[in-house]
Amino acid sequence: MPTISFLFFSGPYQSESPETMIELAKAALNKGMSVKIFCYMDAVNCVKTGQKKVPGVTNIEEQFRELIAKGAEVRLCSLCMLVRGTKDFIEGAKRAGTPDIADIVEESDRVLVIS
Amino acid sequence: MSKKIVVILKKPPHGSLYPAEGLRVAVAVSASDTKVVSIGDSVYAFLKDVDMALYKHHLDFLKESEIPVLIDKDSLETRGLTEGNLVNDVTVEEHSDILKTIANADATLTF
Repeated sequence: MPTISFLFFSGPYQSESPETMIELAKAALNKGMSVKIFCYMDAVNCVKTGQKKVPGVTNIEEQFRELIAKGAEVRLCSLCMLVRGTKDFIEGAKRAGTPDIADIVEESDRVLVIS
Repeated sequence: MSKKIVVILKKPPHGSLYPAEGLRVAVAVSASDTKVVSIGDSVYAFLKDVDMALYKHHLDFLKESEIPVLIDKDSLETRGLTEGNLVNDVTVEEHSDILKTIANADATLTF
């Protein structure tokens, strides 16, 4: 099973980068690929719990929950969380460190950077 | 055999944390066959007089680990800079060589 990974930088509700990454990840999962996502810098806020649902706006928390439910592996830069005060995050996402990026690169067939 | 990783720095050191974060990641993946490439406004991160408080320790580690930090000569010249403006821990390379380095990578991590 091919593995595609995302090094993902964008916080939610500022640009459409999260939506782009989410759609790419969903497409890969639907094709049977293994998907790994490393949330770096502001992207760690994409998995915060309690994001308000607004009609017409993609709820990023919900989308990440769906990705995890479909088997995506989501890792969060713990230092990025610390400096942003990001504490409560969705179940299934895991705290990680930058050395995890080395593992992800080694384990992946392709690595995409979405900023 | 570990993969060839190129960490590409693109953004300036002022108004963005990206060069510092890119160098942090370069340190984190340094057990792999890693190179750092600096293009565009990121070359300002390696000026002799720039404040490197956020990433000097990363640059020192990369030097000790013999991880090359390659500066795109074209990016320097278009900004009126020369190798003499840069710290000693980096290597200036022709644009064509920078492109070859990127093309030969198994993974590129862009900051």
